[in-house]
Amino acid sequence: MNNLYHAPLYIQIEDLLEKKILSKKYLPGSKIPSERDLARQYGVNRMTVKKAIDSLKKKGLLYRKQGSGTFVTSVTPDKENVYFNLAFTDKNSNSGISELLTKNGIHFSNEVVGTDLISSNAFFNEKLKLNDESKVFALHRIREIKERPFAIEYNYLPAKLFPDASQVDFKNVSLYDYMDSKKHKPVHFSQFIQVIPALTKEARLLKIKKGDLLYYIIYYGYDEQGNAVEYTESYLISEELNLQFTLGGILGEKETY
Amino acid sequence: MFNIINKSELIAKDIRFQISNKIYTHYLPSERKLADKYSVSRNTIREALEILKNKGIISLIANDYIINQPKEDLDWLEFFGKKTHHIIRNYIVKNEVFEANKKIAQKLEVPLATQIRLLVYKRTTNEQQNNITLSIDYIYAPEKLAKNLPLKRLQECSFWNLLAKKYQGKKLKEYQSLSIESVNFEDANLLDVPVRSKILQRSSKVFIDNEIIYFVSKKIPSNSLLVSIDNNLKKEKEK
Repeated sequence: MNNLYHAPLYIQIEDLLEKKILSKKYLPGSKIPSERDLARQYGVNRMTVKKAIDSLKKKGLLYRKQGSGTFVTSVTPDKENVYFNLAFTDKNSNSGISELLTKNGIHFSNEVVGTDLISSNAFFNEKLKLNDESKVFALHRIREIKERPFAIEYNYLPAKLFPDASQVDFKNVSLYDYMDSKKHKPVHFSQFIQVIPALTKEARLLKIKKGDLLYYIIYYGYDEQGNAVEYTESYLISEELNLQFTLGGILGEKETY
Repeated sequence: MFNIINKSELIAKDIRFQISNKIYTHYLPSERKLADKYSVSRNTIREALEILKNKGIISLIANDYIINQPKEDLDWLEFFGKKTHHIIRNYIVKNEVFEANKKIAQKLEVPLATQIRLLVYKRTTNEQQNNITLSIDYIYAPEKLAKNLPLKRLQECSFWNLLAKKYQGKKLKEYQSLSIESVNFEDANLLDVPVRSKILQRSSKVFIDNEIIYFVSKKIPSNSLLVSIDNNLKKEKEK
């Protein structure tokens, strides 16, 4: 899908290494092959490999240990910044926050604040392209890493596609796995990111100070058939969090490959 | 099961819906009228309005709730040659050519001493008759890309506008990282904010074909929005 054939070699190397890290072919904490070996394996210059590795180092996925090689970062969120790749480029798997974090070797937990069935609400119906009498399933969760909240997620799904959602234990079941089981997993997204100060409610739930800055992200998720299957508002703490994404397109024309 | 959405949150969402459907334009009805409409207390309405204010959707100016223009991702619009409803002015701080040092050479993946154009400008727009600062942008571009651009027009056109016009049709790829940073002394002065206040920093490596442009935009958080659209969705829509 992402044809990198025309991309510079080091981008290709970077991409393939990143994929191996994200798919856990290279496990967090493990040593990756040496620059020399990688260069030989792919028939490229060692500097090309170095450049790719440097870039992944900057992204926080790899780190160098003097005299012993290059290792896959196993992030400990107390010490290092957590990087969120919001590109959703890894099309082979679900790519919700849970997936991304698990792939990066971060252990986190969910606290379900509540679920609800909302009827005939013009706002949600518009967001999910539903008609007036539709019901919307609402799921509110707090995401925690080591018992420290880092995100509040408000998910809204069209109830007619997910009729048994209220029976699912979302403390332990990933929302995207559930949506996948209904054959309506979101695979295409639009997202809008803004930075806003925390109001009282967010501050209380995230255990931060009122006025601390948050990333406020709105996602629209669409399944393979193009149905609107998810409208999500999420508030992420901004301390120690970097968001990353890629953008592609034709200069001066359109945002597509 | 308790109702998980507060009344004030629901009302905020409904008002937002009314705004996006142009039922309310320019101004919101008064607190009292809104409280009557939703049959809730003035306090609940105030909470709802606070939520909208916090997201920059409305501003409270002399007891009136004014509806702000929707925020836009200017960089994104400019990359792809789209129109903005904002009138932007760029105040040029730096426009110079220098020889790449190690740091910049690495960023742009060029040999040392390559001619690099450095542009620094502050971006502002008008809202409710007020001049508001959007960002201060740093652009490091290979001079061989930049020299063909009419940089004299930078005050009204951003570098990306000019680039998109001149090199329209070239492939663009951007690797972007967002973080919240404390602003340094120099940028604080340019942005008119206190030193060490928080800014939203967008650092990008922009590939235009095989040329790299390094782009850092230090944005005032409350005046900024970033958009990202799934590329595959776009592709399907176009089919």
